[in-house]
Amino acid sequence: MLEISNVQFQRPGLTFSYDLSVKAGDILAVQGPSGVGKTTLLDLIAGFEAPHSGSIAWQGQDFLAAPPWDRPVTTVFQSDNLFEHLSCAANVAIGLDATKRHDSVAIDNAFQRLGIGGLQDRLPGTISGGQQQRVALARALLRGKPVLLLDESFSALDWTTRQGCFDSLREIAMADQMAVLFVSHDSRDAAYLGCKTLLLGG
Amino acid sequence: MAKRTQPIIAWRRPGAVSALGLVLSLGLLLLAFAAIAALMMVAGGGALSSQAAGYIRHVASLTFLQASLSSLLSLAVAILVARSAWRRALEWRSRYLILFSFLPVVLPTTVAATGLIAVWGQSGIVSTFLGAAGMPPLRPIYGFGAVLLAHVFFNAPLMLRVLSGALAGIPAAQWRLAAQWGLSDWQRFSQIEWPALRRVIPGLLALVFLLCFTSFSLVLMLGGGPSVTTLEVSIYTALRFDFDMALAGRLALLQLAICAVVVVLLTLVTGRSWSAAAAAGKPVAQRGDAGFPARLADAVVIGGFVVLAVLPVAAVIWRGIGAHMVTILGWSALWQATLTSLSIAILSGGLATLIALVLATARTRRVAAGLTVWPLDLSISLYLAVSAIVLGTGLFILLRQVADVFFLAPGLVMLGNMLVALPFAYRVLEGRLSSLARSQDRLCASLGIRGWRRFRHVTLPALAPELGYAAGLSSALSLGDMTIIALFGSQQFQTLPWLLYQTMARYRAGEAAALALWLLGLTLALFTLCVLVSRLAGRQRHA
Repeated sequence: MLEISNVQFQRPGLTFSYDLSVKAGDILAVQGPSGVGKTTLLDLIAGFEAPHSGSIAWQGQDFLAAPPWDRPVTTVFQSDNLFEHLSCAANVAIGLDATKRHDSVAIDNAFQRLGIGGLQDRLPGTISGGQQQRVALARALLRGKPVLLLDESFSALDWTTRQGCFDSLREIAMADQMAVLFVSHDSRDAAYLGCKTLLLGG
Repeated sequence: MAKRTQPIIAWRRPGAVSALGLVLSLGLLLLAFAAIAALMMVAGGGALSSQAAGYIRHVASLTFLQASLSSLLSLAVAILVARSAWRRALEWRSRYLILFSFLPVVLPTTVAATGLIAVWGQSGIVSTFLGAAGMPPLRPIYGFGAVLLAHVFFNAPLMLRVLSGALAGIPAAQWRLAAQWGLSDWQRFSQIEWPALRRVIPGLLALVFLLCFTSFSLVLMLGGGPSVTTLEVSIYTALRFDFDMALAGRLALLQLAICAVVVVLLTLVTGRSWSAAAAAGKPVAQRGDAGFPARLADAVVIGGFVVLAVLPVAAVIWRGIGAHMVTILGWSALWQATLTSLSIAILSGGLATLIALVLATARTRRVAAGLTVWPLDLSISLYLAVSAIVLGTGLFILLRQVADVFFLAPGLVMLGNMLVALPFAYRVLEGRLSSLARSQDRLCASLGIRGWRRFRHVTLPALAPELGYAAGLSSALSLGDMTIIALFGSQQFQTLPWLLYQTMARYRAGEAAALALWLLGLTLALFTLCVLVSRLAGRQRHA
């Protein structure tokens, strides 16, 4: 279980407080108006920001002292998830541990699972935005980290494409027992996924 | 509840490269200040004789006038051509024009001077045409006008690239609205184009003023005598011919003070953006009058620019091919100078690129960590103000007490050329590294791609074009430089530009033309090689 306990984050004129938990296999939608700290919550979990106080733990182990790359967390951002000069397969491989990096069968399987089979050798600039986000999702899946953070990762996609991504996400969370937090502006997202919603600033 | 104080969180730590950058910038600052201190020492504090004071005033005001006129003329030409080229941007000729405008940036000044004489000289191409039309030939090119012409030749293309970038940044909707509203050409210029241009013009003017103010080779070769001189040439004359260290020191300090003021203004008006690259705006059809008179006017402007910018280069090629090429290939001095020039250019270009990369990376990392960057900025800006001749004079004075400066000449020329190219290489790399940091820092931290792995697989492929450009530019600048070698050169140690200058000074025009072509070919080959090598180094499709 991902546990965020009494976490406080301060910036001049702003204080955000968080207290929540997400079980393995669950999806939590984080919603709220702009500026209430949705992305900050994800940044704190990922290690891009440091809290003033509190603890963030996975399965009871606080990982606040760890840098982003050593946390049990993987993030799919809203944009800039892929390196433009690398093929889709290389983009996935570069994010993996050295031991898994050359397992092309696992990479092919992940692409098939997410409905992007055949795109392995393409460059990111030659595929659609929805396909790019699925490549990033494939990498997140293969990294084997138990916590998946999605920062408006699908919000730029049309509704039909987004539904496809959500179907994949739901299946991954269940099958791989990942705790998923996703920031979204659209209330339809949580309704479609049938997941819990954390409403910030409401 | 645990309280934490983390001044810099783990993924933002600037790392060893930041420390290395600071050490390098400290070294650069020390070197510049040592040179300045040496100048101050020899300049002394005593009063000048009225003759010396009058001479310094004359040279300073002439340099100021020359630099002001050169930069304003270059700007006028660049605005005219940028507007015409942009209006006709859908046509292939305009696209090639922008491409060719890059040529003078890497062209050695000695080669350019040869080309300009071949076109505008008394027996040049223009005079030949005039003669064929029964008109008298042009007067000898040498003098104040030739210096202005040469500076426009070099700087108008540079300004054209930046102004074209500013015009390309105007949203397509504005052009379309202008077409819909039926705005006149003047209204289009004042309402749409000028607001975009005026953002880059102050910084651009300051930069070009600085380049013209510190011009050396062109003034030496085209000035035509002591009546047309600049502070740079006067420092050289005082040092190498009059052996008047005190006068050289005073002139150098005056030049440094004026350049420092311009650099401060440059920083104030433009921040760090004066090297704005040409933007790639999507062409829209509605950018100007498509009627015949407007098209004809644009064709005349573009044609005139081609005559100004491309014809001298073409003339160098045309006049360089022939029997004289065979003659110079038999000179042992040519091969020795070629070897010397290439060695110095490759070493100084490579070193300038490497140091620029370290400093730019250090700056990017420190900005991300919220740390101060002024030592890095100062060490780079200082070398815009400390021109090659000022630095060379300082080093000459500093080292002559402890060593034989002519024995150290190769190292000093390499060092000087490297330092002159450093600010330009740094600007090229720093802009791209900042933008890469914005888009990749979080992703790389999230994926654990760090250190050498990040540089090799992520940064290098994305930065390869800029690295190639920076290395090519630095090497080309070094290969064509005639400033520092003028101070330290001798019969035993000469570079290609110095050999070319001496050949011209002996009125051996045929051999000089062949040498100019040889130097032009080497410069373009070295620049192209740098670009190709960087592409190979950056090739990375499978991590």
